[in-house]
Amino acid sequence: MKGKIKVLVLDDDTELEALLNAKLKSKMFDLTFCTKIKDFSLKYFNESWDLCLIDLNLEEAPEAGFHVLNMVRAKEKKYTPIIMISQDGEKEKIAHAIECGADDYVTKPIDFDILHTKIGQLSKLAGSELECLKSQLIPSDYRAIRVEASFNVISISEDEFLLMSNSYLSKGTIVQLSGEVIEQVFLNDSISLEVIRTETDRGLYKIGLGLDNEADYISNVRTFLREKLEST
Amino acid sequence: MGLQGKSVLCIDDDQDFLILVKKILENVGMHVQTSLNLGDAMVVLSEMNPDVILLDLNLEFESGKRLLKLKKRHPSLSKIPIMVCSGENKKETVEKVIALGGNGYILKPIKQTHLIHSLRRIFQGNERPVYKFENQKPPVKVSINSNLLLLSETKCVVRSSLKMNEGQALDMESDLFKEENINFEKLVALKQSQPSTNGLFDTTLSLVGLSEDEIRRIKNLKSSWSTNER
Repeated sequence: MKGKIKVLVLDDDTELEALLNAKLKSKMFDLTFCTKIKDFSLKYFNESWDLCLIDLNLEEAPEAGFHVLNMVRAKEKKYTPIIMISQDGEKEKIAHAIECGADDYVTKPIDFDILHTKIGQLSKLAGSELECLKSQLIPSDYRAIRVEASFNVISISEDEFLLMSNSYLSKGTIVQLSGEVIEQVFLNDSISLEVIRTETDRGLYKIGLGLDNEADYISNVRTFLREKLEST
Repeated sequence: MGLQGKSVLCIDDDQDFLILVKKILENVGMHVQTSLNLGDAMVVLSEMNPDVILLDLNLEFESGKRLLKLKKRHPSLSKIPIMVCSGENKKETVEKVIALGGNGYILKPIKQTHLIHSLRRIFQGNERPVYKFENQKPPVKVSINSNLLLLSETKCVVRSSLKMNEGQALDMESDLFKEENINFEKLVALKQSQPSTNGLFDTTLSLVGLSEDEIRRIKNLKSSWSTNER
């Protein structure tokens, strides 16, 4: 590790401060505590931090943490990972914090194995040294999953549906596509196509999915193309 | 659509016919290769990808239909349009040729204008219209079958044909998470995916926004799996 992880904490709970000091203040962390929002934002914007911990509920106002989060994310020039801390473990609260730009959320009483690992994952400085939790191999019955990512469509012809992404997809992969544009082109909620080519283009990937000229959907594709090309 | 600069492979067992066609097509600027039989043609095709093939149906010891059948099976050949050239004017023969994947049919003896028009038509048909999204590139959800390999309270490892960069987000559908009622808010790649085997990549994803209860359920799962292992 290159140096100490600089952590800025916004929290007016003295008990938590003592606890963080005891559990985190090791050779790895450099903790700075603020109890007031004003003090926190001064420090946040004028210094460089590796990570922030913000308590959701402050005496200044209930759920003031959301306000701080929104303000910081709107104004900041340099992104700093933020973990929210709260007594409140409701899923809606967590979802709202993530939506407002928090990188993660931990509930009180704090599980320090979790907090250490999360700080390790989020701060660029730390690596596996902060990893306290062992990963377990998934039993074979549960291994099959589907993952879903968002891509963008560049062009459509009768032969090829061309996508763009910063993720790469291997040739031969069968993908299932869905979204508004799929409904427009194929008149169907979703469609399965095969990746026939992948090429790089200015740091992005162009991914070509093959269309079968004998498939049922091809007449819908032709109609879409005719209408679009006539109108332009 | 001009024929200039386009390449053509003419396959015919009649040397005089090949000389005639070569002259006609070179006059309009095409690059012409000729073969007297299919074996010879296959050698030429292994070295070049002509824009079009002009194929005689009745070759000396074989039928040109064999090439049409090969076209169906070979991806590299399937992209090349084939114009069949024959003295046979039976309707069934023409239908058979089209059914086999022939892109056109010209009757012998050929007329110069007819040959050129027919070839032009093939290229016009081949220029498939492309619709490009100019400004807004519409988003599309791409879902692929993958495998979940490892799990901890804060992260998981997924093996898939998707190679991601650090910080990219992903969604996941998993029976395990469904059964255990584990609903993360986001899955974010902690670093760039690492290559595995056969075009697959391993991606370590951070499980963002888990509640204390959900973390406890993962902990329990982990310990039950490790006991089973023993």
